[in-house]
Amino acid sequence: MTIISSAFIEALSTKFNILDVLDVTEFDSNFNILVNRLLKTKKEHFAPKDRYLIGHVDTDYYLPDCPYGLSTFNLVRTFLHNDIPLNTLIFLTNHPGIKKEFELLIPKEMHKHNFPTIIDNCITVPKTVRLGLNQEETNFNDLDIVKHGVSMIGEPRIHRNMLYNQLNEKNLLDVYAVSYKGTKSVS
Amino acid sequence: MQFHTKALKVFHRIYPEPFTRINEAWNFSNDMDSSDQKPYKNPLIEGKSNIHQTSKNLYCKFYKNFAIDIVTETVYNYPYTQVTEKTIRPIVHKRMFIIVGSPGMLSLLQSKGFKTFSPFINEEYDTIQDPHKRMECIVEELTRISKFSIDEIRQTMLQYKDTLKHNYDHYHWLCHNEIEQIVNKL
Repeated sequence: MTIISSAFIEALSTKFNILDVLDVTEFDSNFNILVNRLLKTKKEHFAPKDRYLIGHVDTDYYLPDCPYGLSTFNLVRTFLHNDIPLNTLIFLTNHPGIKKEFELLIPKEMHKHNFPTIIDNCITVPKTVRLGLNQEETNFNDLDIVKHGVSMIGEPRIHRNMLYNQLNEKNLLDVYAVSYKGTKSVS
Repeated sequence: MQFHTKALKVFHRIYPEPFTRINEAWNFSNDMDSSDQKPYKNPLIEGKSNIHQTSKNLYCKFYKNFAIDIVTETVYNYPYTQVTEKTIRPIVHKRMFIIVGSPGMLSLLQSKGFKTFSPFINEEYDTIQDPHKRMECIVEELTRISKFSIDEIRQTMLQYKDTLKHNYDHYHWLCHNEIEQIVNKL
């Protein structure tokens, strides 16, 4: 099940022949999965409209001072190593400006005719972002407001821990409601 | 049972379902009790510990009780801005928001046609690259806002009613038009 909304796949299918749809999260810990999927649909000669659609809406791994992410690096290498034209790739991402990573990773002589299509400016493509469509419009009533704010912190991450600790230190937990998802039960 | 413990001391002691912990600011209607440290059986937050991922929509009834959503985005110290369902959540609930995320989130939303909440919220934090200074700026702003009375906060929400409605409508417009616009350009 891809994170890419069916609306986007349908719209894209009117212009291209989509060979496969993948999410980076399906293979970012094992790129052999990507290789196997690509080889299943690899052609001796790709038609001009043949495309692979790869969704990239999760975080990548960045080594210190490295100008590209590990997944981007491995993705480009996989296409090159398996002799699959990079212009068959439509890379759908919520990382605006990630094109510069591909420019660093793909040899310059390929930029004009063998470069992926990168869509990095469409915020409503992931299914999760479109979840709000299912919801009825709520009536706004100022009298319902009883607290200044809420933070659904969810899974612990460094910046979320920082925020919680700061709210705690500044005695703001009476003002802002916080929900924090732990990984084990509370004793 | 009497509810009398101070909020700071009992954080993590009220947990509406296993592994979800909430603080006493949730107890605005005084119907929660944390004294026995047992899971709260009638969950205020609808028993959803991870609403945005497990639910088929983003709706949470309790949002009507809050003015500002302090969105803790997926990434914070990261080379890119990332708009996820977490940022969309206050938009569909018609709430103001402060985003604890990568710098440039607000300007990205503005470039997409959404409106933000300056001058009521000082949005300088969105321009600060240093993650520690950005967090300091966010917390300073939260501290400043915390000094407003609830009536003042309600009044502010009324002042921004058109902005909240605009964002809600614009989100729906984007969902129905953005994909087509982008695909047409390919």
